[in-house]
Amino acid sequence: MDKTSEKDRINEMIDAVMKVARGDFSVQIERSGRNDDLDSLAVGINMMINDIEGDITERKETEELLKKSEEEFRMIAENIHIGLYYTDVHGNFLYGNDASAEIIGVPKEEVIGKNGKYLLDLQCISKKDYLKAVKLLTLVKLGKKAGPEEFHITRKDGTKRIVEIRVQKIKVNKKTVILGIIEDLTEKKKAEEKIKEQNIQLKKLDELKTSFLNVTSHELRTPMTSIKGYVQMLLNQNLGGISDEQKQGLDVILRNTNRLDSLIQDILDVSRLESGTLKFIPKKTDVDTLVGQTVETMQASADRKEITINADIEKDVPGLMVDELRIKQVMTNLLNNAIKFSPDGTIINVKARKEKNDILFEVQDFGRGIPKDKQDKVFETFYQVDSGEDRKFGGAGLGLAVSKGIVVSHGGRIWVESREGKGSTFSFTLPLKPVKDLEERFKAVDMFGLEKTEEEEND
Amino acid sequence: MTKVMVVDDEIDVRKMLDLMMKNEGYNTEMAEDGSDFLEKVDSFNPDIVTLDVMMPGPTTVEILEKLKKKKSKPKVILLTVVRFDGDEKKIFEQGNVVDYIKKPFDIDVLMDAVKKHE
Ligand SMILES: Nc1ncnc2c1ncn2[C@@H]1O[C@H](COP(=O)(O)OP(=O)(O)OP(=O)(O)O)[C@@H](O)[C@H]1O
Ligand SMILES: [Mg+2]
Repeated sequence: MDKTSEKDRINEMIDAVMKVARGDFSVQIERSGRNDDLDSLAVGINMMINDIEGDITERKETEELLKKSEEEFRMIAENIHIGLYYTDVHGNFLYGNDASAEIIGVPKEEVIGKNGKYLLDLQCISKKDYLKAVKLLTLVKLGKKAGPEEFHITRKDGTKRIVEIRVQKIKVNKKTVILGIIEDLTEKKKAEEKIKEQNIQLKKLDELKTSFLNVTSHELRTPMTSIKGYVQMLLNQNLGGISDEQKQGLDVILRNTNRLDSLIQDILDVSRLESGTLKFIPKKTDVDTLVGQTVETMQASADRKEITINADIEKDVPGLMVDELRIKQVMTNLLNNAIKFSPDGTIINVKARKEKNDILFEVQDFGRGIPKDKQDKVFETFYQVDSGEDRKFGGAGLGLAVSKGIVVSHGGRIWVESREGKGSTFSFTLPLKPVKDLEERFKAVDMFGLEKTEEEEND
Repeated sequence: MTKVMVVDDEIDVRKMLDLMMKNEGYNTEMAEDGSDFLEKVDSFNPDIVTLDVMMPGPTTVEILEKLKKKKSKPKVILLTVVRFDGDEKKIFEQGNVVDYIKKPFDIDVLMDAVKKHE
């Protein structure tokens, strides 16, 4: 039999409720077993205590989770290498992460709570940049696109930074704030500057090379002009009769002067090809005369090897708008090669005819030919099929590279068909309708086999 | 007789060209640069001028411009070592240049040009 008085039981209940109020949910009220009203009350209170306890742990768990994720976000914001900050709509700093403080070089505690103008007072930014920032703020408040804009920052320690800032209007806890993202471009800019600098240096070097080549070629060719001129006058017996021996000697001088001249020409042309500064002077040109004159200038070297040059020019072949001297240079190169790489007593055929919208030129020889795998390479600078042997003929491997540049810039094509030991036919076309911009096309020519090398690497 | 005026600042080249022209039977006169040429041109009144490009003094374009204001109206054949000085378009726009020849030149090519325009 339970002796506990009703008063005691009520006191016990009050104690329990007080404990719960203090946050202690461990209490439970024992029932008397009398099944009276006080027992019912005890059951009710016990249930209430359990319910409240459950609610509270749940809330605590949610709070914990929230706190954790907030911490995570803060960690990200703090540790990210992008500067983040936000201000109120008046431009007063409310938050800034470590990166932002590092970039502007002013401690966070010093800036938070201050207006953006403080950075101007510190001379961290210039007046101009400050106004730029004000403009950004105005724009973003109006909901317009704001930034990215570039800013130049002078940090407290005097070092400079170049940054890009973009801003965005966002709502945090029903309050509008202006979020700013600062990206440090200093290193990127430095690298860009360096490349710019290097490009300027390279250009200067290139200009130096060009002017060096121009000056040297001028200085070499002026004396050659009088040598060549007088030799020709002597040979023509304009200055009195000469013996056979004297004639032979003068022939050698003339030949070697020409060789020197064409080498200087080729070196100069290659350098202009590289820099894209080769100039063209198109004029109305008669194909028959062009071929005729070129063959004539090559006649002496052909004669020496008893080689016959047959020229076959189609009747009434239309004239061309081309740089006559340059096209002669191409023909001379091809004829010169044909003579060089053919045995004595053979024949060389030169042809020109209209073919669709082009004039097609051909120089055919019955010489040693070019192996299939070398047929593209011969158009590259300094390439010779047999570098030991071919150099003996006097040549640097520039002729065909320059020729290709000239033909392609005129809007034509140049190629070779050849069989080893049988001979070669070099062909090129020139369009009847002249191309507008000769020089522009010129730059597009791959003179140095660069594109091909890449292709081969991919193979 | 056709009159040819030879303009070149290099004395060896100038005298050689003069000799070549005389050999072909032309009446000749020499000038050592653009200003010298412009001074003499009206009194000699040549039919043809061989004009070196890139001489000290006035540029080729300047020479050609001033030549147009002279009484004498010769045809001009340019002789160039480095092919022109960047003004090629303007040079040919002057209208009085009939040909150009690269130095060192073939004597036949030069004489063909002179004969063609004489
Ligand atoms: N008609 C040909 N027959 C055989 N091989 C040729 C012929 N034409 C050119 N070649 C080959 O192509 C190479 C390159 O020719 P290219 O004209 O560019 O240079 P080069 O004649 O050696 O020297 P350069 O023209 O500078 O005096 C030659 O060295 C030769 O090996
Ligand atoms: Mg060659």
